[in-house]
Amino acid sequence: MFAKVWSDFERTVRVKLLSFKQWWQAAFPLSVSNRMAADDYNPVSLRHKSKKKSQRGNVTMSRRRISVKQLGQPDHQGWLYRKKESKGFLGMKWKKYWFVLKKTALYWYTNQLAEKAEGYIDLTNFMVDVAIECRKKYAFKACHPQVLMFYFAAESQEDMSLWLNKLGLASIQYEAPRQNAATECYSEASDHEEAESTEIPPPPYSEQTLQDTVDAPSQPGTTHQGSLPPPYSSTASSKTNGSPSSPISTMTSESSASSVSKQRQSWSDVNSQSLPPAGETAVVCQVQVHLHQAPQEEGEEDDREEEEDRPSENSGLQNFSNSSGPKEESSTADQQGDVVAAPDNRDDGNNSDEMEKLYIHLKEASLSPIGDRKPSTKREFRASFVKRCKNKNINEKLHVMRVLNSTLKSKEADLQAIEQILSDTDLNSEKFKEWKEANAPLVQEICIKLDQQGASEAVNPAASTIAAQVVETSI
Amino acid sequence: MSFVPGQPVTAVVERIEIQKLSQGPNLVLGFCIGGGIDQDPGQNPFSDDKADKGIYVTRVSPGGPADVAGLKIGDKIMQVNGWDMTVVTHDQARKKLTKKNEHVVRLLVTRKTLEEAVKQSMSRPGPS
Repeated sequence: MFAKVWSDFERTVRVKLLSFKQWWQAAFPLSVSNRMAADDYNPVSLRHKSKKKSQRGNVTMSRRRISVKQLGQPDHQGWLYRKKESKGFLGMKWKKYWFVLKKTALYWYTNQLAEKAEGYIDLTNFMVDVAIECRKKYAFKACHPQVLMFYFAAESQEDMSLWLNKLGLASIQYEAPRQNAATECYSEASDHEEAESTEIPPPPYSEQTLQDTVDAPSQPGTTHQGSLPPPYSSTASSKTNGSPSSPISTMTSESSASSVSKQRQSWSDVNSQSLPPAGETAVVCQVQVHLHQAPQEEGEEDDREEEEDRPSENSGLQNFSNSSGPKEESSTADQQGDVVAAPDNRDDGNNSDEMEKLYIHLKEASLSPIGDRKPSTKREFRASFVKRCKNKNINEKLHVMRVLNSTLKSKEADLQAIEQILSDTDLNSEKFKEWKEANAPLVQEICIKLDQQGASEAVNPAASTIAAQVVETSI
Repeated sequence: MSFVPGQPVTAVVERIEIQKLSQGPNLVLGFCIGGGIDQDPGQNPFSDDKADKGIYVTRVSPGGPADVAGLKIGDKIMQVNGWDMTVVTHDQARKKLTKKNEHVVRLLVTRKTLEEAVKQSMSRPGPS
């Protein structure tokens, strides 16, 4: 009982101190004052509440003199490897450090209890990306034009995606300061995926128009980790008319796609009649997205609405929306990125750039101008890889799709073989025998299949004599 | 012995009381059982419904306590001393029957002939 009271008190005090600290830091941005030693992950330190009143007001003091505890509540933390190249020594060592991210500052320590940070970088205006060039698994990098490149590696795919998210957000904090409130709001959501995404979308979604989405791309589009644009939080006009308006969201940058932002991709079809190309593009995008949307209610609504929308669209784009269906998700992201660009064009004149849009979409869906499938270019593979690394779900789905594709191909090949023998008009036992020998594995498979089918009726007794003997107990 | 899923099982049963026979350290009943929810019901030669996973009497040793008590081969055991036998594993059934400190087991068994006998007596016109 007392423990509970104490922990409640503890929590409230900590919250207050944290808010004070943030105010303090906001007021004195260069100081690194951390009065509180609030520490979530290290319960031992709960007892000694910042007995160390270190001289934090001193600006000239090295920024590294912050113990892990003094950082307080971090935005993210965890073990990461850092690539350390010793000059002269031909080696790339990956050293493991405890990384703590606080807003835009990234500190790293040899361990969680370190008194002084081994290193610190301010991530503003850094470019955070996956590092394919590194041999190390789950490696990513942070680069800056003036500062040298930092390489990091996580221990798992999830960790890497998380860190990429977080670091990316840190890097944009100062790129777009006025978006702070909104982006933070969505950055949290994008990290806590399903949980929060169900909360945030419904209100802004219900009242969005295409005009708002046009505004979206005009925001600084250099955000690397696509956090969702502010128009959500600042819905200007709301046209909730009778027509089914599926929620809108757009990506500010085309390359990044956190899973939640993907889940929120959708187009408002408020003006679907007046903008057939847009509507169709919406259809195309939606084909991908809603397949992977978490079971949120708006998601389900979307699916239903999409079902209605799709049959109503009957244009040349229809076939490519179908063919882009099995395509990887990267193309979705690209499409969506391009669709973001499209509204810009739409600003000029609704139907004037249809051809251009069509061409862009075809290109993004890896189709040649006449609608055939073009093989993916290396660039597309790379882009797809980048997206995959950031999002485990996409990666898994991509793998599933690839597996399915190759299975399909092999099955088709089998079918060909069978077709070959069946379509032979003057088949005789000789030929059949030859064919059987030539396609022995296939024949085996067929036999097994047949056995399995007959198993339920005929094979059962046979199987059970082998498997389950009659058990008789004499008593 | 018809089993309608979802409906309570009804059957015409016979009460059989078996006095266990001491054979040295063991108590013997003189019959064998087969079946159980963990067994394959398709192999049961005595059941009408080949999905019936109940406990059936597969052998009765002639002259033994079960035979004397009137247990017949092919009987389905519904209860043993009040314990249900229709939805038990083979081993559970065995255990209920072979309790060391019980010298008497009272079974409720059912067989096709019983049902038919009852049906016949019901259809036969009664004395007016």
